Amino acid sequence: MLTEGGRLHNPRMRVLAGESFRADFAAADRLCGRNELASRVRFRRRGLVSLPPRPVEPVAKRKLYLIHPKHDQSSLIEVDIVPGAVGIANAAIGTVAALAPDDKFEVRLCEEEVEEVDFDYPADFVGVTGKHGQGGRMRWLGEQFRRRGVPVIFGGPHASLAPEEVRDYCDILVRGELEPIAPQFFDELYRGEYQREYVGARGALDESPIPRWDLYPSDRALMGSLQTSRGCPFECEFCDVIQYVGRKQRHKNVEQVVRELDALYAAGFRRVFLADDNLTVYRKRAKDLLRGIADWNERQPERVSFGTQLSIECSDDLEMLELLSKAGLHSVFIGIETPNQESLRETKKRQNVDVDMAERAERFAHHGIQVIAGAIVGFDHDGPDIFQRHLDFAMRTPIAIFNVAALYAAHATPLRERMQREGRLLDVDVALANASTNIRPVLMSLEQLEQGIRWLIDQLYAPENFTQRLLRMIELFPRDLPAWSNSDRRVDAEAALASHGILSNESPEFARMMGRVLKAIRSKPSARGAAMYALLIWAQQRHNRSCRRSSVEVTAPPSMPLAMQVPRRALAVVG
Amino acid sequence: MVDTNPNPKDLSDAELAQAVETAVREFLKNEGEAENALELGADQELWSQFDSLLIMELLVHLEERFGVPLNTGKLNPDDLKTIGRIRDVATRAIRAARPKTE
Repeated sequence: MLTEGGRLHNPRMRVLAGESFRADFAAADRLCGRNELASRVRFRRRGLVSLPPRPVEPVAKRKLYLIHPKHDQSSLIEVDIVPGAVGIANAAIGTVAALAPDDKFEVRLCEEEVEEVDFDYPADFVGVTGKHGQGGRMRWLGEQFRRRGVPVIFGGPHASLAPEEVRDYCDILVRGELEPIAPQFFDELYRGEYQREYVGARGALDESPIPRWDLYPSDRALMGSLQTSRGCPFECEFCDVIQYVGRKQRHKNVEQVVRELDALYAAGFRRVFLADDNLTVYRKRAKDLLRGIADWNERQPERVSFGTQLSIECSDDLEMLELLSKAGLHSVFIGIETPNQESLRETKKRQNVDVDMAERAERFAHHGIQVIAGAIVGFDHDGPDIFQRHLDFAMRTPIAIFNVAALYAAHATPLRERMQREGRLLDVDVALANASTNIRPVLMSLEQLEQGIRWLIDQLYAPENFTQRLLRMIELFPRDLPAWSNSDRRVDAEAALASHGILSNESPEFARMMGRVLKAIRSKPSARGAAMYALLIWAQQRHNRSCRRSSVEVTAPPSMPLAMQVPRRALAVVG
Repeated sequence: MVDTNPNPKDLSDAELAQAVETAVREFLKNEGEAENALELGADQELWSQFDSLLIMELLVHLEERFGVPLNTGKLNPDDLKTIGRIRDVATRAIRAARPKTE
């Protein structure tokens, strides 16, 4: 038993004896040579005590280690062909860092795709944030740090939407948005008087701080990230974003966005992803914002290009397309989802119903904007012919990049609730990755679904098919747009070399097609950026394919005789 | 008449290196719009001359010109830092692809 000056210093025993041990923490820690806060947490975790408020004493800054973990599985959007780099910089950990009071916290960031987690860092707290596809890694990191006696905080989309999956792996769970509760949260954290769980409301974004890009490995990200709004008014059945950030869209004002752009520019970014859930859905606001961004871009020594997410209906509006182009938007992710109208109705994707998507995609290309399509297979109205229908549709478009995935019932979504009700939810511990689902389809088997998706992806990224769509896009691009900013950032050079290495070694056919694309953009400088990005994603896709090639080779869509059977993992129905 | 595109396998090592260097300089002048590409020192840094797309174009150009894949996935940006380094990397790859003769 530890004693100092004749006093009892085993806090646990003193609690059992009904004594207050509040003042003895520091002494016990000094004697034990351990971190005071960590020891307080250990006691709380045992559920032995309810700590009384403790007066703030002048102590050193708390060390806060914020981690954005690796993804559990590779996906199309990640650029793991470029070692030690990320496609889009993570703004979440930088935002939390900016919310932590400078005088009380010393913050260190870790982007795990870039650098290994430092388990020896003497952190007072470790914070981990992530999406569903990072859930496994979040849990693992939580275990590792707790084993070392460091209190772990979980927050972000996955922790908010699936708290039951992560609660046991952390000491503090933050659900919802941190900004509105940040002052209270950090104050309690600093004092060691924190709660087991915090719930943040959906607050206004006016006070959202500029992320601490100075702490982030910005030189290892292909694109910076800026969120000008949160929320989307649509109600697609599968979407978990609206469950997290709501359907009432909240906005940053233009001046705030410009300040963030200045910070990103200063950090070296010349490409920025506007990480809104739907940038253009409130048109007047979107136009004001785009004018502001265009003005800002005009003033920069080097022009910045942007990507974002929006919905297809904004292409009704010619002025909107022109403003997007003028602001420097080079690529937009649009949830095309499916050419099957019944499936669109089923999933409440009403903005896509009865819309000629191919023609809409051409409108974007005419304005120098590349459409990146999200495609989903496995709706209740999708039969085994859906894969061929997707391919036929794709080949009518100037869309080079299709991100194809199986319908997945994410946590907290109406789809998950329905699948549970119908007894079709499968207990599959998978991340949101291509060809993985947790739903039992209606009009096809799981085997057909998985094989069909793999066949579809192979077809979409086959040299002739991919190049045909990309060349069509380049052809439609206008000549008179400013050329994409030349980037001499090392990470961009690495991406180019990685893309070239993969495509030139895949087969002579790939090398020939890459050469054709490069020749085409030589005569259309406005398409350089979009085409370059398409080549990068093409290479990433081929890389992903080579990773799974050993397990399966699908040579025909499932409506035709299958060349090979895919080994199935055991699936169980839950709920 | 002088053959401006001799078959690489007919060249000595020194001639091959010279042919690669000339091809790099001409590419930079014609496609990279580097007016001074022919006069640049072999060790002068090219970084500001390159964007990522130009890197791919240069590699494809050299591969087409010499008929040999140059990038086995191990190239890094430092390999393209100067004309001299590009010449050395490309020459090594071309030499390695030559059929072995007794």
